Amino acid sequence: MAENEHEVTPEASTPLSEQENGSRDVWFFVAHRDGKLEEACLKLAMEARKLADKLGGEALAVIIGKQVKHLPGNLGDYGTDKAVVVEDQHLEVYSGEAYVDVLAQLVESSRPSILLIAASTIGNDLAPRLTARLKASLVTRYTEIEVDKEGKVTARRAVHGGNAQATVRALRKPLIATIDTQLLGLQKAKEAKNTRIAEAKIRIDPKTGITRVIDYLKADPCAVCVSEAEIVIGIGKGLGSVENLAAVDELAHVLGASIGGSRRATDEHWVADERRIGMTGKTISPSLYLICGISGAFHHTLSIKESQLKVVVNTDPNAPIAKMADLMIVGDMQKVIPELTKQLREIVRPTR
Amino acid sequence: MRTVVCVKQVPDSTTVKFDILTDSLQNVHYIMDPIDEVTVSEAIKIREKAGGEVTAITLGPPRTEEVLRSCLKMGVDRAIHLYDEAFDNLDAYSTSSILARQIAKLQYDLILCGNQSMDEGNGFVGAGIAESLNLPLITAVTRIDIFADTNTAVVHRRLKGGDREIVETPLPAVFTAETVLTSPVYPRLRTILDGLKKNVTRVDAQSSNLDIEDIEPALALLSISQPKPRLKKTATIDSSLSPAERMKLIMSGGVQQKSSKAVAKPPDAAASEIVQFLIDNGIISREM
Ligand SMILES: Cc1cc2nc3c(=O)[nH]c(=O)nc-3n(C[C@H](O)[C@H](O)[C@H](O)COP(=O)(O)OP(=O)(O)OC[C@H]3O[C@@H](n4cnc5c(N)ncnc54)[C@H](O)[C@@H]3O)c2cc1C
Ligand SMILES: Nc1ncnc2c1ncn2[C@@H]1O[C@H](COP(=O)(O)O)[C@@H](O)[C@H]1O
Repeated sequence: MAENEHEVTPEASTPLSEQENGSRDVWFFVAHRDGKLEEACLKLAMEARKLADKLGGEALAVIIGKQVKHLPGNLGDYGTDKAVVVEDQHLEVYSGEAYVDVLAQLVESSRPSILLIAASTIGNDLAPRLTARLKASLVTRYTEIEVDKEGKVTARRAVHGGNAQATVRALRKPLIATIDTQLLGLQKAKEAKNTRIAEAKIRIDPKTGITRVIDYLKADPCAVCVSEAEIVIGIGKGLGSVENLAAVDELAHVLGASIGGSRRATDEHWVADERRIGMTGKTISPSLYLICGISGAFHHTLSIKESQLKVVVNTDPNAPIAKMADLMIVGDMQKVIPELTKQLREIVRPTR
Repeated sequence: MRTVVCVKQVPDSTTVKFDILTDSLQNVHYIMDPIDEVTVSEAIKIREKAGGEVTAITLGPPRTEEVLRSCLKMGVDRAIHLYDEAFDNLDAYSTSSILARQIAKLQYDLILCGNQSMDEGNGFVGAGIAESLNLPLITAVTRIDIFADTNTAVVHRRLKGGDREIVETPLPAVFTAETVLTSPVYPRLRTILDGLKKNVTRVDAQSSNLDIEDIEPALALLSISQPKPRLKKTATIDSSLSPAERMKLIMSGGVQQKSSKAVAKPPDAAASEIVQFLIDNGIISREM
């Protein structure tokens, strides 16, 4: 692997003793889509900055793809010291096998302390592969990482379905850690950095791939099972009558949402049984759960905890569901829903 | 088709609670991890179509033999129990290397694991086995079609929002399964009775030629404790808040006070409020 740096390689100036142990740097893996950085990356950049400060090292982005040199753009605002870029036409789309080959070589040559990866579909595939290849330590979906005076790294994560928390120490280097970036807010670094770009040349064998992607099936977001949906609209008794379903359906199409319901809604046959959410139904974990006319009985709320954002529309400000709301709208769903559909039609499109 | 299924016994996480008084987990009911019920069922369905045999394997203390008994009753052909005192409290890394060593001694075309165990959810063991045995790995599998004549498989992988990627792989390979892969098999009485007669093969460190010194964990478990309130957003503590309010925010782990935004407005204003909230949170974006 030859690195042709635009600047002096920091690794070269690191004392030998440090090199043997690897560096104190914190790396993060940058996912991109349609030639743009995903917001999740900026959050990882923030997190990497924070940990690099604790360790006394640098925050470093790793970007892999076909044409990605321009991507580090505003990472400096989030405190990224350096971006290592690997470009190759065979790396245009994510492939676990190819990306692990590239990342393993990069990590082995510089040996960072920590490598952060977003717990996304790609990250959940990449992190365990890379850990296995590098014989590294892995912590998935951490909630906290701490560094002690000697630079020893411990991490916390939820276990037993969120009923307990485990604290673990990384015994190897690097610690590969995945995080649910939706849990992080976005905030620029106090001190912006001028991100240095280093291009790493890695030989890519186009034949590494043993497995072969032969097709891609795009799901209809409105038809998809509620447990897999990114946006779910939940309806309950507050719907009032079957006539009001059409308006909910329209909203679902504008938002790209899957419709689910409370037991009341399934009992009334407004919503198919397989779309019931709750103890005797499905568990959901969407980015957005829009909860309309559901009171919030624990049989229902039990299964919606993993929803990232909960928006409630209910005529009763004291309905139990209000306690869980990120945004509580006190109002009549039968009036709010058509209005919401109208406004959404005018100005927005779903991000996914 | 010779399938090896890795199964794990776990405390049922729908009932288990962390108790602060005793500083330990309470209400621990051990069950077979639901995801492994799925993989065992899938292995049996594959055998029904393509023939062959199914081997279930677990690593854990004596009580975990129970899950292998369940597997036998479901209709698996063989069950292997890796147990040794030296295997107590292993991390996922060591677990995967010991499982891999044992699997290496078997004949196999397909190795099935769960994508994530119910208790620890490391999402690692499948990848660890694949790397140790130098096999192709496909994660988040929701459907498996085996082509015995070409010794290949075509599988669906779960992506975001219900999308699927379809991947072809030569066998043998390791797949980590999602719960939607298949529905459980309900064995016939005959299968259950046959299962009762079968034996579980016990393998310890010595009989698997394993030098305990070779087990080098990657993680040390320091403690299990009470869960922290889930961090919703990084708290940017608002300086306009009173010290008491700020303290409350910090104590709650930065969780923004819920229902702080109760909006009672006419429908159009209420809808605008929702639209703005969705934009602010990156759910939708304004058309350029
Ligand atoms: C063993 C068992 C298992 C169960 N399993 C499930 C389960 O899996 N899932 C499930 O959901 N339930 C389940 N239930 C039922 C559960 O206990 C509740 O009865 C049910 O969730 C209530 O449904 P709801 O919120 O739609 O109706 P209600 O409790 O009747 O609430 C209706 C809500 O709509 C509001 N409302 C009324 N009109 C309007 C309007 N015009 N606009 C906006 N809001 C309005 C009201 O203020 C109220 O909050 C189970 C019950 C049992 C005993
Ligand atoms: N002790 C074990 N014995 C057998 N299989 C295991 C064990 N631990 C994990 N596995 C397998 O690996 C999968 C993923 O586990 P984990 O890496 O802990 O998320 C599980 O669903 C099992 O299939």
